[in-house]
Amino acid sequence: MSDAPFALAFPNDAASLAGARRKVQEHLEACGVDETALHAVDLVLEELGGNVLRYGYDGASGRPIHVEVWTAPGIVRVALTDDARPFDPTRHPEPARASSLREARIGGHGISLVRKFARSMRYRRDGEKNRIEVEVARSAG
Amino acid sequence: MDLEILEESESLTRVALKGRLDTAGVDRIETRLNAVLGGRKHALLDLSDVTFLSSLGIRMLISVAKMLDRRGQKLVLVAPRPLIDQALRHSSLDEIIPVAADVDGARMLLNS
Repeated sequence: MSDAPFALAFPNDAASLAGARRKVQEHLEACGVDETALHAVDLVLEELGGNVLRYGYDGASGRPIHVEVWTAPGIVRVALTDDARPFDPTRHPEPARASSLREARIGGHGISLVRKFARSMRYRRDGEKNRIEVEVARSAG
Repeated sequence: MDLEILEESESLTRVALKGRLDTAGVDRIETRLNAVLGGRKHALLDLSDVTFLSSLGIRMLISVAKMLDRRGQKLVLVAPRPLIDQALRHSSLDEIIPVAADVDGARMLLNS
């Protein structure tokens, strides 16, 4: 994991997040990463990046979000860094399990999904920045 | 993200969703899906061409199922790909919305 990561930065809007997701996918496809890992990394960016867009900046625009991606034998690691309000997704509670459709809450599944598709998720607050690192298995096997 | 009506009978509507059910996909399709499934009919939602399912897609599916349930109708999800099926199970969605491997299985679930 000593190689330089594939890194990019984008402003906090939905179109830019979608563009960043496409670039990361293209990079990982070129690295020969399999479909399961591509899906997991895309889910990490959609969910955790989407949370920063929706809740992080209180409506402020043009704020940078940084993505770094590393590949290594057996693993893909993705890191998201932003200077939004502090938010630690690793402490976010799991949604309550509904016993019926009527009881079910409509939302709140994003971080839980990331946890389940990932091998690990780590958070740290670096000064004014949130940094989340997620590792996913490089192949389904 | 696209939507295609595959079958419309007196008692059910069968719709195929195609593409990525992420933020942009849900934005594109949710209003139309709600309109298509707006009658007093059961719904079969074919997911075989859905390649990505995020929490906003899950939110949309729960919301559609609740809307149908309020009218005494059922939603059955049909033929999800393995990664989509995994997302349904990881979010325990399969415990509140039935999932069938194919259309015949879905029809049996509607009649059960």
